[in-house]
Amino acid sequence: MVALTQESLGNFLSVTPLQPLDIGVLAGAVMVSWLAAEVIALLLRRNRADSRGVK
Amino acid sequence: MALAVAAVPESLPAVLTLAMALGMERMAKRKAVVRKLTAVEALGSVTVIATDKTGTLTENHMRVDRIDSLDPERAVRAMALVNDADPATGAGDPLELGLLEFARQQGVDTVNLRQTCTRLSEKPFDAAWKYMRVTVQQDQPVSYVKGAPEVVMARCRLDDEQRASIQSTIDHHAGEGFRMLALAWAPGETEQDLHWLGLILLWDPPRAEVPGAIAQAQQAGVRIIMITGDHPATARAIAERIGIAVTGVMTGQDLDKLSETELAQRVMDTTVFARVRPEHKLAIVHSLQAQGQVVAVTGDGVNDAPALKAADVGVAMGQRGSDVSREVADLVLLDDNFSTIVSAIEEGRSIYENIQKFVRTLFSTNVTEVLLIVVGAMVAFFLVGQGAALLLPLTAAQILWVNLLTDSLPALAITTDRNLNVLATRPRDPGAPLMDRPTLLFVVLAGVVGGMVALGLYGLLPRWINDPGRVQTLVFCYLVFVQLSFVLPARRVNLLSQRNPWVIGALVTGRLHRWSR
Repeated sequence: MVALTQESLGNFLSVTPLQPLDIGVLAGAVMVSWLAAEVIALLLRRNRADSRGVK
Repeated sequence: MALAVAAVPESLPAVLTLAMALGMERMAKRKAVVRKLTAVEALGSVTVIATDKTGTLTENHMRVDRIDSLDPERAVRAMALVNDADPATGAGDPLELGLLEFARQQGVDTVNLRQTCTRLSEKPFDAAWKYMRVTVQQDQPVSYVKGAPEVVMARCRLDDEQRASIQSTIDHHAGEGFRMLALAWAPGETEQDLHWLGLILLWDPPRAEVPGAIAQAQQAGVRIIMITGDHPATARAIAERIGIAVTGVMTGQDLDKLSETELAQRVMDTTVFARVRPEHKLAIVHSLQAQGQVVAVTGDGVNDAPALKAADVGVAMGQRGSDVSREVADLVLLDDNFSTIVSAIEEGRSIYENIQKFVRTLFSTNVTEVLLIVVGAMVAFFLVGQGAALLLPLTAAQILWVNLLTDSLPALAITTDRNLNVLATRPRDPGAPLMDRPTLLFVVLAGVVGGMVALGLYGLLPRWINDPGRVQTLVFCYLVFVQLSFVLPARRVNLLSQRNPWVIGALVTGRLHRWSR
């Protein structure tokens, strides 16, 4: 049942199985993007706190 | 089709409504019932709270502190006689029962006294004349009068020196925060030429939690104004006791004499308004609003309805409020307590911040998707022209799947975020856009970073991977994971959020999806 659902979903989404190397590339790309977004958020948060006059 | 699916934040209306509804539920748990959904947003930007004194800042449990009389024995007997409460059954007005209780504590047998001194006639209390009179049969008929000090004093036989002395005593006790009732007596059935008996000093203590709530509100940049019908000296004394910085006390009579311009100036630097009527309250609200203030006003009477309606946030009292006041109010306090307004402001600010958080999440991920699809499609068509096979970055079904996983559960989980220290900042400018500069910058910068990395994968991977389906799947998986990852930085709007297990749960659920056969 689970396998059938997975196969149907895979067909619907037109996806193919990934190789171990693909997983590594994927993890690296996600990590870089996430860290970049964290830095952006932290920089903007500090600016914002200053401009609103946090006591 | 793919572009349309990517660009439209499908879950935004549902999440917005849910954020407001959950906020309303949290406020209700803190005894503040929101009657109008729009008030949730207004609460976050309140700059002035104009509050009643009695019952909101104080406990509204009037008890007799002491009597100030040269003939205390007769004064205590008068307290029991000029009194409509029933000493035998305990039925009656709480204030009058308090007077009976005090007489009992002074050793007066109130039940026996009422039986031996039978009531011959009476004039009940009315706000129009502000006193009551009872004539009882003692050795001879004797009248006792109880009422507002200035009214009773006017009916007493006193010379100028005595009047000045009593007035000075009244001012002194009012300055200590006491409310007062005066007592007088005279032989026969009369209300004139009375003998002054003394003052009953009543104490309505401030609620224990109010000074803390006022300090919290002031730290949050919210000005507190007290508006009361009480004596100016009483109002000032209570205001000082609970931590309102008294810069001056204005009475209703003072307000009547001011022009519109003068009123505008005075409402900005006066914190206590005493002896005011409901129409003064309305004038104060209008004047504050004309100067760009966002005003929350408390009220309980029918006459307060116009001020409650005019205010940005009308706050009615759930216990002692009239039906009319509750009907027009935006917020109803179930416990009639000032500190509940501060809690509601805290929730209002928190809800607004949560809305900004999921706007950041939804729009930044949409920018990533749009960038990937638009640029990816252009590159694909260019390559087709060069004789390569057409490979679009994502199909419409894949984008729908990404949105299903990343927009729904995490965005809903963000609405349950508890934001710490929202009261440590000044109120938000009511005219400020939801998508303010930091939010817009985050959306664009984080979205572009996500989009560029996705395009990098899409453009570079075919050099090493010959299977176009694998490349598309990798880009698809990247999009899912990166969008889930953006939920965490998007929550860093301002200061700190508490750890939210719902957000963690939503992210884990999203990452558990199986994308391949």
